[in-house]
Amino acid sequence: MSIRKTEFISKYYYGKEVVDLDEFIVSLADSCNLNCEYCYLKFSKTPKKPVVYENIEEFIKEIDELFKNSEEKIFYFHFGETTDSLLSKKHIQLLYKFCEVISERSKVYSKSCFIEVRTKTFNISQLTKYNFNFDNLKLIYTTSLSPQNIIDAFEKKTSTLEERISSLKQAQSITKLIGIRLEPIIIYPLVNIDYEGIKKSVLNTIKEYNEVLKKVFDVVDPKNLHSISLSTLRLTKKQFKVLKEKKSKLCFPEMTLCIDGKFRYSRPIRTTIYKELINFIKYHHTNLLEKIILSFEFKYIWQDCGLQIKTLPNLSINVE
Amino acid sequence: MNFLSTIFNSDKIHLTHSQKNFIKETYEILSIFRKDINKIIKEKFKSAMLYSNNKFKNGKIFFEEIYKLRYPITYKKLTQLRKFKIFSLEIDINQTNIYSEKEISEIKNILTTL
Repeated sequence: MSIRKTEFISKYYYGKEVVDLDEFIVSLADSCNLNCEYCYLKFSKTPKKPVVYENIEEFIKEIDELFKNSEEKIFYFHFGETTDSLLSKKHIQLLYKFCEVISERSKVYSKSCFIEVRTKTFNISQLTKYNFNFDNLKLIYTTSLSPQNIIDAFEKKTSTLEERISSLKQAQSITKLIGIRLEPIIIYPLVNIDYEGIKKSVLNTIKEYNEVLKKVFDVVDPKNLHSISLSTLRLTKKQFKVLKEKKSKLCFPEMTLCIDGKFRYSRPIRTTIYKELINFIKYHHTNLLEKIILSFEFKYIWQDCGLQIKTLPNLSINVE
Repeated sequence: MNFLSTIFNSDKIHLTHSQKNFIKETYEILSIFRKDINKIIKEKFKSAMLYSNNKFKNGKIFFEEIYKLRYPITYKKLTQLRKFKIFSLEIDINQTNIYSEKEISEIKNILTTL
């Protein structure tokens, strides 16, 4: 049995001047073997192989402390940051146990909890082996969506786009609530390094991601959508350096270092992408505008895109 | 990358240490996407050398050309924003009080479009 020695629950720190979405990370497991090329886990101090932590009694203490010391009524917990939430049967078994604990403790302290599971696997059928209908707790099934050519290039060990969309369809009858995560949005391939080449690459990218959204809207009932998160590729200095040395096509020329120490596509590129995707979503479902968030972005980018700043608990307030 | 040593050691242009690092990094990144990037950089160097007899002016011209090669969109936008004395695209224009509404509208248009 693996024992977690540091805290299970941590408030997510997004970085200097990045909008805080007010979520808590729960690290019931560390590391991931899906090996996505851009994944930050490969560049942080995590175990080489996935590890799940079973010292749940420590988690119980932490959740009690958190609920006891906070006046907040709604909590958003993200279980897919330090690992893929549905990576293995063990991950799912533990997810169930952790949800049991959260449900029980949230009843004691009169809290409402939302649990995000995020996956690039096609293991959704494993969720049906458990009954996740807990009091005071709602599970939100999310999957990171990318065009198939991006999956083929940078997420080789993950499920296909078709499988991920199929899992969203299935999730509607299992978890009821689902979320769309276009994260990270990657510009690929690069048509050319000059102005027109980069512009064309960005427009092609928008077209590809719009196609992905269309496929999702064909199978998903908007009333089951908790949130839609958009975020373009971010790379730490270390990631950028290593990927450059590996001659990875993730190292896009027009990437600049922002105040939080991460490289991002330049502002005109990011806002163009976000605005076009938001317009596409609005065109198909006007009422989904209020469910769109930008992840890991600055306040002025939200304003560029005409979005009101909101947090994940905010989005959860009126969810039945 | 030997051609970069030739450029950096030339007595016809002057480049600072950080400019040289930027040029080297630009070559490394752009060579991922263009196999002939060394030829492009060499052409720009040749043009810069012919600009004047002043190695500092030549260095400035050359560096600007490389910056434009690396960041074509950012370069264009910063050129447009120069008249407003704005030198970064990652600014919160709503936090400043020095521009008129018309200017803010123009600045936002530059920052948020391709």
